[in-house]
Amino acid sequence: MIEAKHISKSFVKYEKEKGLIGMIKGFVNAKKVIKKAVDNVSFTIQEGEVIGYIGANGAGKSTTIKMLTGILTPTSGEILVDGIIPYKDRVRNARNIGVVFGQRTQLWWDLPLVESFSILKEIYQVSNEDYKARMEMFEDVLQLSEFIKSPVRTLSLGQRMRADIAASLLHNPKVLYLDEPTIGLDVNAKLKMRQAIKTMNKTFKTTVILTTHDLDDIEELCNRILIIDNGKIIYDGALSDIKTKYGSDTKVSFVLKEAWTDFVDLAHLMEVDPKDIIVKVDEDKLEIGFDKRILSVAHVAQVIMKNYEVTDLKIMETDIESIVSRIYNEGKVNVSND
Amino acid sequence: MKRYFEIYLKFLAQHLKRMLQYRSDFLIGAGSFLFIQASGILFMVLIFQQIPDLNGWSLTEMMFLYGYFQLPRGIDHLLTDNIWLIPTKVRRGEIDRYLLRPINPLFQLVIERFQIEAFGELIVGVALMIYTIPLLNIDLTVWTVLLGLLFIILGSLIYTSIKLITASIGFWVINSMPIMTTVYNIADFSKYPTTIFPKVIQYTVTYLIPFAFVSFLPATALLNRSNGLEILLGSVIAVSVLSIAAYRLWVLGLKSYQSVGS
Amino acid sequence: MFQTIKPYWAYAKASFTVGFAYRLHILFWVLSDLVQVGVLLLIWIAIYGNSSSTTMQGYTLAQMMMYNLIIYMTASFTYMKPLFDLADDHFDGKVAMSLIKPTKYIYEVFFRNLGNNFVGNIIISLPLMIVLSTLTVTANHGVNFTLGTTILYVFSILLALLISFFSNFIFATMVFVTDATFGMMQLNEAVVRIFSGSLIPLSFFPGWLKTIAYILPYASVYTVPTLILMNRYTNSELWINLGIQLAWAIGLIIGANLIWSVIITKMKVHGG
Repeated sequence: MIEAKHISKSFVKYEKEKGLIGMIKGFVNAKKVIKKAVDNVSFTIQEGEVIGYIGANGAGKSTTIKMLTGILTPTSGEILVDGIIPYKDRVRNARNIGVVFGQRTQLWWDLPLVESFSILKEIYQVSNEDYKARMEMFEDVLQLSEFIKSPVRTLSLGQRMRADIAASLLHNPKVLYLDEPTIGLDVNAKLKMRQAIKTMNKTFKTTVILTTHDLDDIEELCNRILIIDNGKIIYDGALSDIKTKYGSDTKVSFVLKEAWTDFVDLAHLMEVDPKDIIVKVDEDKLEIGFDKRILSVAHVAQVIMKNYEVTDLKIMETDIESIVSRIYNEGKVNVSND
Repeated sequence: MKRYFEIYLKFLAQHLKRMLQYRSDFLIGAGSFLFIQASGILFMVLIFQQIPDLNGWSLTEMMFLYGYFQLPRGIDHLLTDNIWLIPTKVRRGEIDRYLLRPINPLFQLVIERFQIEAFGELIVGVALMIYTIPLLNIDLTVWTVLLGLLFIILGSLIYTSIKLITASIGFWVINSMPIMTTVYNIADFSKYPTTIFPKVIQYTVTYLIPFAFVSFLPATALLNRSNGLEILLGSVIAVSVLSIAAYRLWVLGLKSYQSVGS
Repeated sequence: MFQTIKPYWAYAKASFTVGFAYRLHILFWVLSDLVQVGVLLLIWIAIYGNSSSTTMQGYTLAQMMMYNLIIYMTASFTYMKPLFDLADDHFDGKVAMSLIKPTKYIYEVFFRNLGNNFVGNIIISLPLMIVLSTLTVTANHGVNFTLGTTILYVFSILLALLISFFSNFIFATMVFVTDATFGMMQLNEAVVRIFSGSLIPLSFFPGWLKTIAYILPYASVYTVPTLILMNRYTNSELWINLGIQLAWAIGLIIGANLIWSVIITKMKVHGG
């Protein structure tokens, strides 16, 4: 369904030095700096897959999505979505896709929601039967009738996101792109969103590409993960693999009453293999990283608190950033296309 | 094509609905435009208390010209006001959403706004026409009326094209708003008979930035001061050249937007 | 369309930074202003060309052109638009903070406006000032500039600033409170334009219109400084008009404070 072949995107930025002299110099002869936002990225996505596209902010996620949707043209490489080149055949590609940007709505600000749908029906040439069926499904999953008569600008974030996702699915697109769709939503809204995506995917084999920082989103929806860092893909594989490998990383950090003085063999204290814990110490701050399956948080806390006076403790589950840096530090994991 | 028409009707219905909802805002807005135009008329009336005519143009003819000036401008203002926001939208990345839908991006952008306050300008224009036409030497034949309407349509197309050209510069220059306003202010020259201005201005406003073809030259044709068909020809040429140039520049701008991002 | 843009334009005009990065930007603002003035001047040349006499209402063509340049420059200097500050501050909750010190807020806005606008206004008026200074020295303009009137002009401008700001402040609070739109602002601009003497010197007005103009404060903002600089007042007229300016300034400051405290009290009660 989607083929990305060695796509790269570079942006030219003009660097100006600071101060008045710098500004003058910059006006006359600015230094060109080329930033490669996306660097030789390749992947293939089959119809019906639900892909989680993860990466730190600025890693190149949005740029990739923009290229896939046809908003941006790649500096080099080729993209095919359902056999269409998005930035060349924009209109044809647009008929096939639905897009939801978490930060910005695609709907018309001043119009009542129902009118937005009516206009979209016209734009995408959705048949009356399809329209009816789709609206019923949305009602079922997203409960839009509560606010369907209100102008979009009066909706809360949660309502607006529900509306946006319905709008993106109205024409039954072959591919759905979601850029941070659940950001800022409450639990209820998130559940509804995920339900809608799941239903469409199951019923219509909609291919879904989802960028997110929310692990639960990925948990619930995705079967495959792509991780991008500094413009390069550093991981492409099944979700289950990542979970098995890194999902149980946990860190507990303690603030001790007194700073550490001598070295103590914590591994021995906890009765585990030294390679199973990562210890970081900084004066009175102690951080212990470990695998939840091997060591329990309770046990770690107990041992430390029994042997030292602890004034504060914090438990940190694994998050995207640490998985990404973990994977990055381990070098690129080989990409396998299933 | 039919699709575009139906989409436009839907938007229009919504705009009108909103106008009814915010009736007072609309009335104040239209009223203020009316007042602004009134000040222009006041100026003329006061001037003509001092002079008998302006380079052969009587007060009534001047008011006819002034009224006729409002019509193409009003229509352009009514329908395509959103073009003014192009530079801002480019800067904020708000052009993305137009690129994601399977219909023409410029169309999407333009229909989002229906500047109903422009009716203020149109009302002034029509009122002045109604007042001055009976007093002037104009034969109201079917031909003249049609010609007049045609000139109005062509005139507003000239405005729109020039607006689009200056707006599209916003794809490359950070804020082309001042450029837009400067060029638009040059249109003020054609509120008056261009013959009163030095040749340089006449040349600029007729051939370079052809605002003269919007209202002044057509007015001369309707007042039987010049050959209607010649002016019509000039108008058509102006519209063709400008609209093609404007649209091409817009498309080029979009390409640049897609390459450079926002 | 220009009229719709003008409020935004003015705001942007007021808050730009003086830097080479905006060189092109400034160039075009200036150009746009010059075009406007240019149109006016050319129209007057044509008008006088059609007149049988060399003066109209006491102005020769040269004097009329100087009048237009000076009044345009005066308008630039005294441009104050506090509505935006008000709207912004409301968003930031600063208005709520001002409940504690109601009077001070107004002056805060005034000086902020002064700071923002004044520098910008001077820069943008610079070309005009240069043109004017050159003309003053070189051209046969028929205006009797003196050091005395120039100094008084500066003084008059300061008073005009106060009048401009506080009358706009009052208007802004009205607009703000009634939640009216920019339509009101444009209306205000149009009224000011007519009755300030920017459109046409007030001496051209028929009697009844002149009366209205003298009741409103706008003449004191534009016409009075301009005519002072052009030395068109007799001695008594000069001091009377300065006095009127002073009266307006004081009156409006008091008025603005009054209205503001009323608004604040209302807001306290209703929880604006």
